[in-house]
Amino acid sequence: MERFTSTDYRNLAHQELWQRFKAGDERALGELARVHYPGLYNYGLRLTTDAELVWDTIQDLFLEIWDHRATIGNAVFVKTYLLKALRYKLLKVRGHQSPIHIDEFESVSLPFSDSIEEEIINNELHTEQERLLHQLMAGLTKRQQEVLYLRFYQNLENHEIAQILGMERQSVANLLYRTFKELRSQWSPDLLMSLLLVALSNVSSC
Amino acid sequence: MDYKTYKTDDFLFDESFRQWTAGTSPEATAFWEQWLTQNPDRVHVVRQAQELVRALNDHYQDDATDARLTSELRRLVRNAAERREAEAADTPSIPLGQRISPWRWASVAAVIILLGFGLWRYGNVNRRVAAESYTHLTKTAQVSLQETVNTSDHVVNILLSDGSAVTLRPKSRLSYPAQFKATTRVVYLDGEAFFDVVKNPAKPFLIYANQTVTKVLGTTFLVRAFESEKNVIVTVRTGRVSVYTQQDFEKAQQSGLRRIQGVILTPNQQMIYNLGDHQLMKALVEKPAAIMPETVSREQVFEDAPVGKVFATIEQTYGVKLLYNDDDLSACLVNLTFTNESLLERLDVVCQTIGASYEVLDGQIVINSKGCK
Repeated sequence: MERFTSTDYRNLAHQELWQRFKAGDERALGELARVHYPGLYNYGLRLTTDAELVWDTIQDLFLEIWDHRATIGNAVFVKTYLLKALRYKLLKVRGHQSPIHIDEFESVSLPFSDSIEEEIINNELHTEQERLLHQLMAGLTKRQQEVLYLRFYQNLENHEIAQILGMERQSVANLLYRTFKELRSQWSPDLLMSLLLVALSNVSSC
Repeated sequence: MDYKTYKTDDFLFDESFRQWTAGTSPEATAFWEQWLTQNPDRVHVVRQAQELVRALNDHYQDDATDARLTSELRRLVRNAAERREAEAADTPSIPLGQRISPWRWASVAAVIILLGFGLWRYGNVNRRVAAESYTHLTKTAQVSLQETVNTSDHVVNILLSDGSAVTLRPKSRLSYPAQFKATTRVVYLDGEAFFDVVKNPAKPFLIYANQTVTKVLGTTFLVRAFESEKNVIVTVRTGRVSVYTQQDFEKAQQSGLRRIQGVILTPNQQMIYNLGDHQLMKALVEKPAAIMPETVSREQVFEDAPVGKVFATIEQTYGVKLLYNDDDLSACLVNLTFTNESLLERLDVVCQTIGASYEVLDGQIVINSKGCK
């Protein structure tokens, strides 16, 4: 095999990169990982607050794929597969800390934001828009937050989200529709001011 | 595409709209600015959507830096290469038997997924404990073994035939062959010992200790496995170590499974195997140096030192005997700094410096040199 530079790997067509990966070229694995790492890490942080655990879990995830490279199937669904596997692993770890079934996902406490008051007290929100959004997010269920995240941040289609969350595609569509309806109705500057006042009065009453 | 009918969330997923909002595409910016002047009634909806996109992006922002990503990717590629080499080394020692059914692969995959977070429960409680004891194993070993028993209250150093060094702690015993077999290096431990294993991917080093098997290719690590204790603890200082239950390891060897279910440890990681509930736990070691004091004193600097002094220090550090002719070497002065090198790596360095060679014979090291003029 001729010497390849990292730029060469970046320019490889998906299919060829995949072929190289399957043939046991660890730099092809590195390039595959480079493409997916930021998105996986970001998703991991939605599922646990332990950043080091997320880094380690992604590392393990890619090494598993590496170990099974000979038997692994198609390159097309890699992103969905990786997100789903990461989610499974991280939820499983949390399951060990407190024995909860994955199906009861919605009742599990997630870093998906819970309380706007807390956040404001932490003074981590800089703009009014951010405050409003946090307020809106806190009004969504965990499931809604996750679906919105996968649709918006990971740019996934409904059927891919369905696969990751183990839901019906139609349920995802319905959930997204409801979520956006809520967001749309509340996302307005007027409301923003009033919410801000409410939030601030909550802070002072604490 | 009719943007006039778009609602706020429709804009959210329009690529060109997002590019404009992020400021990443001049074409998108030109298009949307023009579009807005032609559709002034949509300005409100568009601004609202833009604010939402920005707020969502802020909301989902994380702390990953390029430096961290790069180092994670390096670590991954390095580990992948190591595994590939280890696989190649594994193949002859544990030959592929019958074709593995997809079901078996499925169960392997399931276990490996659980391994990712280093904690799982063993379902099988019917363990043949007696067959896994130190006494039984050393009696039934196919090669003749010699045994070192440390009944003193200080550590005892053992040099194995491959040059690997073992520091045996008090109340511990180690059985090992005078000469290792061609394919593997197997030793049996009851108690606690620090291992400094010479790297040889073609010849894995296996430590059987209280129902566990630790497999390495070359590294430094500590095994604590007293038969009187409820836990087996393996702590890694350098390199990579795999730990299996003895049952799984032998089952895999018999059935010809190429990959065995086990825990892989990297530096500063620790595996604790609980003999009561057969649970393997992976943990991080906060201060490995404190657990492995043998390694602390190993940093040594020599400036214009007679080579005899270097040899004496090596003898002291590793508790081994070096045989050499003092007169031949009296004229040899060396400048050296040792940090993490193993015993044989140190000997390589010294011998290269003074143009000598060495061989390992009966637990001793013989230095051949014509001296320095």
